[in-house]
Amino acid sequence: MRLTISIMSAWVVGAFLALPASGVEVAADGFGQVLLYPYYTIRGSPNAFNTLISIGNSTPDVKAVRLRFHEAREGAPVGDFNIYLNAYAVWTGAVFATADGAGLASADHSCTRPIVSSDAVDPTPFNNASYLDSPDGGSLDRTREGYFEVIEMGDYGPLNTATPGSIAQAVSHDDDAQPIPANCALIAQDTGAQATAPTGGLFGSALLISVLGGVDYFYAATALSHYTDTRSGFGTPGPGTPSLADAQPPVSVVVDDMGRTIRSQWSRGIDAVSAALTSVKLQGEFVLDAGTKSGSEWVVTFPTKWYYIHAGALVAAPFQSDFLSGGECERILNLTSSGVLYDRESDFQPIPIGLGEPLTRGLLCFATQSVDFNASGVLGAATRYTSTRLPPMNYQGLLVPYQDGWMSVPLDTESSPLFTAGDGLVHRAISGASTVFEPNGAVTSRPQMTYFGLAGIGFAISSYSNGTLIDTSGRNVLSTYISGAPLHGSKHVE
Amino acid sequence: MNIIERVRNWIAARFSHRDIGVAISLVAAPLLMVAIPACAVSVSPDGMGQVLLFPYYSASASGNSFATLVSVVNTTPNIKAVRVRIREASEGAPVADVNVYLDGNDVWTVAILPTADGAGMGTFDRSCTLPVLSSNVDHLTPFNNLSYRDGLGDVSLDRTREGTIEVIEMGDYGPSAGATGVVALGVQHLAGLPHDCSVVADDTGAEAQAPAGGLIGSAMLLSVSGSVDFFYPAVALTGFTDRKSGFGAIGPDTPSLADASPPVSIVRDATGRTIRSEWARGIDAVSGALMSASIQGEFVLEPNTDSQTNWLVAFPTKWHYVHNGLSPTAPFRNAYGADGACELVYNPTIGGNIHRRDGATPLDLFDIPPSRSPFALCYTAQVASFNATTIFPSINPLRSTGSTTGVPSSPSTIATPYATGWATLPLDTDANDAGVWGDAMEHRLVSGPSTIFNADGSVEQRPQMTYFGLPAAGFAVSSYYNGTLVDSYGRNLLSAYVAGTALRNSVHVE
Repeated sequence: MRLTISIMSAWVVGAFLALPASGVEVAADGFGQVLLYPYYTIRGSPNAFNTLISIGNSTPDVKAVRLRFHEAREGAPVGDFNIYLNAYAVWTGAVFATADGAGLASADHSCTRPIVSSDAVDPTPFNNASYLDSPDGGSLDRTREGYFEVIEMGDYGPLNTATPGSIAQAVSHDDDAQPIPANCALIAQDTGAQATAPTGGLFGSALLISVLGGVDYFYAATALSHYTDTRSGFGTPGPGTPSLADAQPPVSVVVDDMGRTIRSQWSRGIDAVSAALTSVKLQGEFVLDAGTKSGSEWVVTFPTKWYYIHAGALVAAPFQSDFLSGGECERILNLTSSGVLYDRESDFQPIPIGLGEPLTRGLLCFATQSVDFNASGVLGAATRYTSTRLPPMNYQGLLVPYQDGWMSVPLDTESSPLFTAGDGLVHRAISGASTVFEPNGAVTSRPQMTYFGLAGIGFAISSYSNGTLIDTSGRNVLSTYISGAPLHGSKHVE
Repeated sequence: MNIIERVRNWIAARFSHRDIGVAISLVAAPLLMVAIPACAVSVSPDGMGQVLLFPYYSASASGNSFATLVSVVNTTPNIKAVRVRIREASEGAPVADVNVYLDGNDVWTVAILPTADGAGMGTFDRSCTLPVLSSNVDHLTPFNNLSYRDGLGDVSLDRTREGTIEVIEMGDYGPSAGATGVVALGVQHLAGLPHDCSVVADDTGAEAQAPAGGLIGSAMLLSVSGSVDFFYPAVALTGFTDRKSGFGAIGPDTPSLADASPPVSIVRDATGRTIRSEWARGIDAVSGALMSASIQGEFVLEPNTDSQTNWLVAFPTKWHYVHNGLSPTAPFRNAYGADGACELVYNPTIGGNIHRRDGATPLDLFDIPPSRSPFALCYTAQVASFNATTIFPSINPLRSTGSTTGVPSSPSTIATPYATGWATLPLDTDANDAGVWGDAMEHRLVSGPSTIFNADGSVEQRPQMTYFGLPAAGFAVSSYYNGTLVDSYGRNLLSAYVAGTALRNSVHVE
């Protein structure tokens, strides 16, 4: 019976749908064509952070990739770099402070366009060209934190078959025989003609490190596989292309909390990427023990938000943007009073009842924001969660009555265990034709499906400080420890 | 639409609501089980599930001693019973079993620390447990060697200082709010304290439903004096079972990873296929879900930052395939002996699988002994060091061997002349083209009937499929030292930093 249903379903699917080859998805193994890094920062007081970046190519092919930085407030692009990755190479760079903002420096030998400074004191600066006229202000200070992405532009084939004079041969290098690439100047003329479509196999990680603060957090990039079947982005690097809007074909694949594989078609590439990243809620732990001087700060980034709403652009679903609050704020349930915040013994703050006034809402106003617990300031982010609604906005973070516990950030009203609220809290996107592969092996087709929540990724970090100890070698140890893990998303698609 | 499809669609529509009332669950669950297997075990991309696998704990007492701090979060409003089982690293032998009763939205924490001769656990958490655990760090609830004391080689309690942890949901008692059952009312918290933990001693599970998942977990490996800590999320398995289990006398046998029911796995591979396979045994379904043809990670060995790199490679299901007295079955090949049950894998320095950051030519003929001998992964959890650097003190190192049976073997390290780079450790011959050891390195598991949901939305049926590699999980950790700095408050700072992340596992199924 099971077999019959499955085969019949397959026929139905085959009969009615033209089948695009693949669909963009979050790669379970961490390898992909696109890498998403939810946070970079040089903030932090009094001990500032730097952010160390690595981009790996696990394949024998030479590849061109775009590295793009987005500032935190709007997600405006502030730096675009084409990087030519040797076969099997890892490119490294770091974000450092400039006098008025931040920039990129690298000691790596790989060809880049533009050339990246190798001087940490004088990095290649990020720019404010994309947000200069924003009502949020055009200050370069905004570039001091944000998120970044790597998008594979094209694949030049295996290094060992590269012909003399080719792009692949020109950008290859070897620290023993030829530490400097043969001819980086050639990439200025690269039109991509020698490249084929991206093939994936990129991996990445970043290290947020405050050397004098004794704090560091290392995370793996979120990889998107099967992103596109088209090369793109050649010519002078700019913020337009390649981008997360270029997913081709515009098809997403997700595995939901019930173990279903859901494949949906979309009219736009950006919606396919958002769907692959959409969670109805984000969950993690916090630690605020006085005894260990602990603090917690979460990072929540919406890597596609810029393409749905920014200054001067009309908002599109699943973003709603609460214009009353004077920014591009998404309303969510108030994190303190909505039954989504628990201590370790499952106690929670009840909803205030009978106050005679509307409940305050939580606001996620930025492309990248932190949820700072009790003003811990572990990361010192400037763009923070807030529950105030009236100007002047005070992005104060979150006040928590518990020493430790866990929290679920609801990104749609659907995920609230206690109550539902008005449309302003609803974040949903509706796909086109979809195919569902059930855990029992059956396949069903749907004309459309609803994706609940927002395309959010991030992590929860906590710091612990023990004061000064002496280690077994007799050395003084500040003994600051960091724990952190990606936020756990929940998928809800109907 | 026939009646079965109607029922399935009806259930699918309603089960989409995670917070749906228990009444609908009670109606729907029997229907699901009558028609078609309701679940299939898979690694949760979101880290939430019925089962949590922690690839490593350490309570090492040598050098800078380690403690491991574990937390388990119940993200659902339902009361749950879970089994926490500790396995020592060498053989995977169970050394402690505890039932923990989690209230809805509860977090349970426990610390694993060294004892005088081994390791034990203690907790300040208030949740009901069976047995009751120590809350005194000087008198921990000790781990035992009952499962391996008549075995081979070292049978001391020292073995319990490293290992793996598994958390398996036993059953779900429904929403904490409005609970009526004796067990639920007893273990429910009021103002942070359970009402009456005595109820758990007699719990037969009669009031529990099948597990419903929603657990997340994390662990922190902490050396306070070494100023080293590494925090990692647990690997979660969803769709593990449709049956409650493990009630009654607490022992190492049930619930276990062998209980996956129905014995069906789901994986997604790198080509974008979802592959669903049926298996004869539950343990094979779990191994199928964890199967890795190769594992990949980075290393940092820079002299100027005194960097060190250790990879932790664990096989959470290995005990069920081979241990003292149990002959190996596929995908494991070699018998257990005094040095463990050694599975041969390519030394990545031979096959061109170690890469420096500038890429270029992969190192292929790096001829420093014992680099040409195959590596041997002999334990349930082992520490693979790079250039003999040490972050996690371990009696379960990577080994190398010249024998196809893995005996004899000797401790080894991944030797590389590169200061920084990345490496791939193939777990099957197929993942590496330098095949000189033939069958001895072949690790494969063959499934029963399988269904493939292709990337283009089409579906294929196969009578069987081959899963390449070994069921592995682990992480790559690097540490950095800057010597003594003075921070902005004038405090001395050893400045030790740790970077680490899960090993990336490649799935290969044909």
